[in-house]
Amino acid sequence: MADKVAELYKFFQQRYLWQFYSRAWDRDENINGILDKLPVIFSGGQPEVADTLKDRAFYAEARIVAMEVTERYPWVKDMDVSQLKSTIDAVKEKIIDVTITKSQNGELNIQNY
Amino acid sequence: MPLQLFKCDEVIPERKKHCYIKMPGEDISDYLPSSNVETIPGTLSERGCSYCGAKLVIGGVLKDTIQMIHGPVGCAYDTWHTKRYTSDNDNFQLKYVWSSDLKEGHIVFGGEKQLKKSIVEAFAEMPHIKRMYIYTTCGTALIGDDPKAVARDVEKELGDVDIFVVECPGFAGVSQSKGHHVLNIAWMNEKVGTVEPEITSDYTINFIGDYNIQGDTFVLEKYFKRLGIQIVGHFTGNATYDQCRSMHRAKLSVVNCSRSAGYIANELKKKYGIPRLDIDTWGFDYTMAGLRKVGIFFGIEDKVEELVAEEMAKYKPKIEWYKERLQGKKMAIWTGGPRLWHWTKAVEDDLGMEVVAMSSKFGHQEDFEKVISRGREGTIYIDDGNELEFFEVLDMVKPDVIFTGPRVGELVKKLHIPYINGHAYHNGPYMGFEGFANMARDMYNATNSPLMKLAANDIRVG
Repeated sequence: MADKVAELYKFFQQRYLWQFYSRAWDRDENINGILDKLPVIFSGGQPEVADTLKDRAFYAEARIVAMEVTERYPWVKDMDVSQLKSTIDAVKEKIIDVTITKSQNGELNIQNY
Repeated sequence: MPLQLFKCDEVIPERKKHCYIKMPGEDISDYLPSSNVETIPGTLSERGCSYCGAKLVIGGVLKDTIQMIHGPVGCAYDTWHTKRYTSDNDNFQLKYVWSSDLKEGHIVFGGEKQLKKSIVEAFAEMPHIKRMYIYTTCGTALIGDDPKAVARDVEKELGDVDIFVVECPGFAGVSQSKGHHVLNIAWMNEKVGTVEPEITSDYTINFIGDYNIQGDTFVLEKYFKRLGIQIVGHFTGNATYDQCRSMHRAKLSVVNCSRSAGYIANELKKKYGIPRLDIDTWGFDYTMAGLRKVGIFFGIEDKVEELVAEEMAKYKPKIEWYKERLQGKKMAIWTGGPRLWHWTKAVEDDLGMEVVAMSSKFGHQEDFEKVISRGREGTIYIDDGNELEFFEVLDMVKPDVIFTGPRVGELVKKLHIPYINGHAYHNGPYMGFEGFANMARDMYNATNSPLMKLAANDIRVG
């Protein structure tokens, strides 16, 4: 699993801009909002989407991630929901670690944009 | 590899914090160059000033607005015409330049009367134009002129004009980035929400951070029009002043250049709950992903797939042709900031090229996080690069083509290395499917032209 997490993490880092928004709270909100929808989408289901523009945006990002990951890493199709969830959770932990917790970006916690 | 001190920087060792070469296994939590900080005295910086960031990049693009530069005529002239942002109203914004034309006497006795005279004169000369931006410059900020008071006075007197004042003199920040920031926040605070747009579609967006360089906006407008999506405010390519006042009514902000305009997208999210989707509009694969994302948001995926299929059929063969010929070519990108991370994977994935060196004039650490994550191992990443560093980098990586501005472009041309205008393009537009084919064509022409080799021949020695 560690290899798969590393592979996905590298792809996510290269590909997705939502993890690099200007402030820590935006990054945190995006990473959780988008990645939490992924396991259900990967397993062919429809995740819960609240009737808000914000959640619709997370859903749009998540659908794109699912589409691109499935195309590049077909092994996700062989995983069951619990495997998918633990893999995505591990990727999420690593992304949060690198882009928020250990980030050297001095602007992440400035109160104003 | 830890941050690098180039040989040429031994006398200014502070430059080490700004230069990085990515090595296997490293990520952005290990090393991140220092950026958006003061230029070190003694370095030959290529940066622009903060006023330039406000005027040349964002405000000056508006197609129905007088751009009154309150300062000496040079500040106006030097930020006019150097960026080819067109419009569909006969390029009003490119044809004229306005200045209050300050002289020493005004600096001694105050420039407000001269500013008022210039504003009234400009509106009288162009009676069909009712909108104006005023910019302070270093001199007028230092003497304490109050252009806002003058603007309110004129608005009251003329009755039918609206004026926005950008108080961001050249010295306000460390680079042009400060100008982007000041203009974004002031526009949000003072103007967004003051005009109600006519809504003609259920699908409404703001397109943020595209400035219609050689027609980029026209390409994007064509896509969104075909999808039935109304662009309420385009910040600021081919846009009017009043369109940008009505950005509060869109359902979604689609962001391309988050460096110059991420601030307004963030503020729209905070104040009006309008979510922000960041996309890359350069590159085949990226354009497709961006359009698909917007399509999913509005539930119009089928329409997007139709458009993508048509565009791919038209332009994919061209891209394949160029890919065959550009594969393995080495490229350097020395531009402002965001184009580094927009382009590095796009040219690698779509055209098989390798980006070997990148330098940013005004990027923040956020931009370096993006570019180092997307960029190759072994590639050089520099903040606020200086001329001597460029020479040293050229020796290290020997690029086949360099994307940069005309200023550094002249330098590399003298070394007989092909350069392409990375700011205003050679033969754009570069955005979207057709734009990326144009970009590939310009790179093919640059790397295959015999001109540079011939220029290096000294005909006197036969």
